[in-house]
Amino acid sequence: MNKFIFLAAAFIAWGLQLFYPTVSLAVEQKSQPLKIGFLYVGPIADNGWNYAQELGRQYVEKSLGNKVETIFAENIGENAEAERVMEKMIAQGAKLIFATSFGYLEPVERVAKRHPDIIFMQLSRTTDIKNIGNYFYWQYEPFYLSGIVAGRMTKSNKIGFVASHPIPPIVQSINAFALGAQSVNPKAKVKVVWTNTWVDPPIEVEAAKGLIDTGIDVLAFDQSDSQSIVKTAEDNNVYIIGCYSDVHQFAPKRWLTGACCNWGLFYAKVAQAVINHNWKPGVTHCSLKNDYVKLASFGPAVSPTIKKEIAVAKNKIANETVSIFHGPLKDREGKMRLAKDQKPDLKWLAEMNWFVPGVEGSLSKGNK
Amino acid sequence: MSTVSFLKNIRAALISIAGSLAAICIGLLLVAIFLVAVGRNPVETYIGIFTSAFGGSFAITETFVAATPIMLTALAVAIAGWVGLLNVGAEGQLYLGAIGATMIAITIPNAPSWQMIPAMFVVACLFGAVWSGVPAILRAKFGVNETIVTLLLNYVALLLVEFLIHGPWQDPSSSSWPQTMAFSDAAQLPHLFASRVHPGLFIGIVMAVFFAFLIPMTKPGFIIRVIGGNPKAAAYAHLPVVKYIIISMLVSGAIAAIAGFGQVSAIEGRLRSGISPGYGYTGFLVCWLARHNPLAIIIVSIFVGGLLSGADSLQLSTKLPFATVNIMQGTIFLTLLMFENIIQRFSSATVEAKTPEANI
Repeated sequence: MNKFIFLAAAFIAWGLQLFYPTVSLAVEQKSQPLKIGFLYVGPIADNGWNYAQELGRQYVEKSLGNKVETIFAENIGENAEAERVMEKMIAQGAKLIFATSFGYLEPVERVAKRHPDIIFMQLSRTTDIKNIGNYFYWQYEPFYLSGIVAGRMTKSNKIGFVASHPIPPIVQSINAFALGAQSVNPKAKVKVVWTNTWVDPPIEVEAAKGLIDTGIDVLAFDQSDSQSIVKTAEDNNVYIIGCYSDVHQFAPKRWLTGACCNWGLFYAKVAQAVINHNWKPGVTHCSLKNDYVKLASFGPAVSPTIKKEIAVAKNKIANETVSIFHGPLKDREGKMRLAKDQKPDLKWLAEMNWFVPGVEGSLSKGNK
Repeated sequence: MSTVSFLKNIRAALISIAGSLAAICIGLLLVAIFLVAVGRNPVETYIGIFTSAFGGSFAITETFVAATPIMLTALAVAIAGWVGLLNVGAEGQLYLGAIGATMIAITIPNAPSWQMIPAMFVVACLFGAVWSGVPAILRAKFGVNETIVTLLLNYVALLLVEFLIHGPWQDPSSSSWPQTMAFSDAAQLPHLFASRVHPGLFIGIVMAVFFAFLIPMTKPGFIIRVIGGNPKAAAYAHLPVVKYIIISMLVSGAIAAIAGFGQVSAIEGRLRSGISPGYGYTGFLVCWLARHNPLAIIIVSIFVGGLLSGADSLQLSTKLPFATVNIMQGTIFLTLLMFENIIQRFSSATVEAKTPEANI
């Protein structure tokens, strides 16, 4: 009989614990490390966007040691699935969640409203909700530098760009890339093909081959995965500019450089702020200045002269002595987008939906 | 047409569920070998998945949320199956339902919810029925294989959604992100308590129970079973085969469309790509696992919903890569399908209509 009562009590306790996980958590909360959840839109083995995010997470674990504990989920769609996974992260005790893709904002907003005590970091989008921080990565800065390399290296003056979604961060990168190329080679043209997907290797390779057939001799891209496009470029003897992760090993001969992310430094800083209880919402700009974005290593084809040129340009951008987008700047239809002496601000950048002259390819609603 | 046949139907459902459970256990054993090989404790892993799917109110409601579109699309496949047709197009019909509901939600955004919700529901069903009506007419009038047509229309439906959210329906305020504007509150289905469970679940359960009565116990149900058993004999007996085939397919598409309506109205609150991570195909699988038995579909879809939602714990707690989720689900589905024949031998009851094997 005693045994039965004991079992019943244990069972009830177990049931209570399931329904009220906070009961047991609240007691030992103080001494516990900060639990951080990372939400990835694709597989971490993509050698690109998500791999760079994963390196960031590993850096956070390494640099902050036992002050943090991290969990992550890969391949999480930018839809209601993300909502469920974030809720489960929170149920496991996550206090800080990095939502590392553009389309996560809507699910993040819904979860953040339900959990005002949890801090969320949303990429590339702004919101009014107080427990969501926003971070923009100015990938266009290393893309401008890559553009200089591409402009120097091209013989045909035709450069290809396999682009994912026609959203402002990507349009910024393409425009800066074209401006970089034209700064050293005014005849350089950038041909853009959209895939409308973050990752789909067969479609990406198809787009890359289509561009190669039009006579380009340098190829850039912003797809989340790297391997298929970089290898296609190497196999077709076309120079390649990488994106997000440094994967020169896939194109030992044709790799030039790349526009890469350096998330670890930034994520560790955010985590430290949360641990110190001095985290504040607001916008962080990940740029060359704070080293949160960077240029990849150079390939064998890049001459020392070009490397020197890049080093000079990089210093100017990082020191903010020059601005990549500076007035007067017209779009390719001739409309004035940035007046003389006007400085580009966040709003201006976050609404960029036009191309500079010299960029070919559609950019309109419903483009394909 | 008696309670006896309904009870037989329940018996058939129980046999198929018991058989499925046995198959699942063997599938889990196979996956356990894999888990041991990668250095994880299989028992802990499975407890983690179970807790993540059914441990606590949040987990259970999330399982129901995933089960809802699966249940509805599985029913859609079953309804076509009873008259001997293979509807592989539940995914496309789901998307058409989502398009129909969205069309109403964004064209009359200021309508009150008592007008909005029924209008969205009706138009969603109509759109889904159109999508399944095309293969139905092609099949009934010209003998075109409905399997191929429904399958290919899935891709057309997906591209149609992509076109709409990249083009005419794109939200101007979403920074060019491909999605429609958010639905007004009136266009969003209510949720059960604080969860994300929405009326779609209850529609699915009520439909399943309704068909569990209709098929074995009524005259139309009898005709459906005859057509499904042998369409030539049914035509010879002057049964309205063409009419039943077309009506069944229309109903099938409409029910799959309800799943899409639920996804945009109750879950996402707008139309965007990826509202269904293949629920229509999962529904197809669930329908076959449940051997076209509507009551078994309820149980199996909740189980599979739990498998989808609980698999999160593989990543979050067990720290296994996402691919493990695919390995586990694939193995379990495979053992279930392999056991299908073995289960069939133990079950003599074939109250529910024949599965459309004769037509493959």
